[in-house]
Amino acid sequence: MKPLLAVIILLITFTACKKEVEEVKQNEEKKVDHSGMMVHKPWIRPASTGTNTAFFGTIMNHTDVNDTLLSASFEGAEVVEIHETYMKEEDMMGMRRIEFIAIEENSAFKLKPRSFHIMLIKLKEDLAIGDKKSVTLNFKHSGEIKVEAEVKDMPGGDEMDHSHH
Amino acid sequence: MKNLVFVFLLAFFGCGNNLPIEGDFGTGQFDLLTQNGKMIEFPKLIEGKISLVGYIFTNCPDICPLTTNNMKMVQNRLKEENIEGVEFVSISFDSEVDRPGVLKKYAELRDLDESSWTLLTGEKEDIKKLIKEVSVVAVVGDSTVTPDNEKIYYYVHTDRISLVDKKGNIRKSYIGSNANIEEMVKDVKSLIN
Ligand SMILES: [Cu+2]
Repeated sequence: MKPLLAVIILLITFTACKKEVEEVKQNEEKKVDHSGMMVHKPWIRPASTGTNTAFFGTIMNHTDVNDTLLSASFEGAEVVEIHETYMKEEDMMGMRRIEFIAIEENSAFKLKPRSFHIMLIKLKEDLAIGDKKSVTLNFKHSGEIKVEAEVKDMPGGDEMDHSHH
Repeated sequence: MKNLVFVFLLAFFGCGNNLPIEGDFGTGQFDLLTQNGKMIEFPKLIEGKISLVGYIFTNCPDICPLTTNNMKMVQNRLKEENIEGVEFVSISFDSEVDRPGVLKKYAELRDLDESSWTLLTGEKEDIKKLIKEVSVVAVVGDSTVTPDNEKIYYYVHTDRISLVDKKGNIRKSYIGSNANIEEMVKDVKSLIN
């Protein structure tokens, strides 16, 4: 009888353990829901097939690790790049590709007009005001974060740079 | 003393505004194409009208749409106040890409009121000469190569909206993508009288 008892104890322990593991797993999933990496108020400027446009939004790194935006993808564009708008002289503006954007732990980074943006190049479809489009940002640690962006002409009040107020 | 104040006031308000002449589009006419494919002469197109002129290229995803949108907001504001006869013009400096059809689509997608808004393109050399007249610079900067080996160019360019009076004189320049709507509306009104 002793071996049977041992098997029973072992099974009980195993089940209990499994339950515990599942609970931990669930908790972790909950944690991801409430924090993690996210993009606040994502939006895209309208543009027609064959041209380019930009994706904006505030990247919120609610994790305890410094992360890096490595790339992004969008099915409706032939090429997607991380870009930066820069000022050359007082009233000369240009735009260039950058390799990545570093986002420190528990901090936010704004992709905003006249600044950093995700460049959606050679659109395969028209993006009209009111459309909702899915864009995926790829982070070094957080992995792929898929966001629904609204196509609109101007950002909402929050997205404008009122930092100097 | 009273007279002096009067003279001062007259100088200040009587002349309508204090927007000095900054320049013009030159003495010649340029044969350009509108978004509807119509050949027109510029600056003849805006002769006798107060105009806001922006300089754009449609492959620009950030600065130029802001410039266009700022002009659109002025257009809306003037409509709200029933102010008529002000023209809006967007000149593309990417004439090879921005053919009339591309400009038409650009206007439609942004819901621009084309009854008082003309988008212009033309021969590369003409556009070059035209923007040089008003010291607008557009040079090819970075580019992206698509999977089909197509090269898309991005211009480093002057970010500007020009306010033009009825005689074709440029009276003020604004940073196009960062222009103040109230200021532009106020300046347009000051030229009306
Ligand atoms: Cu860009």
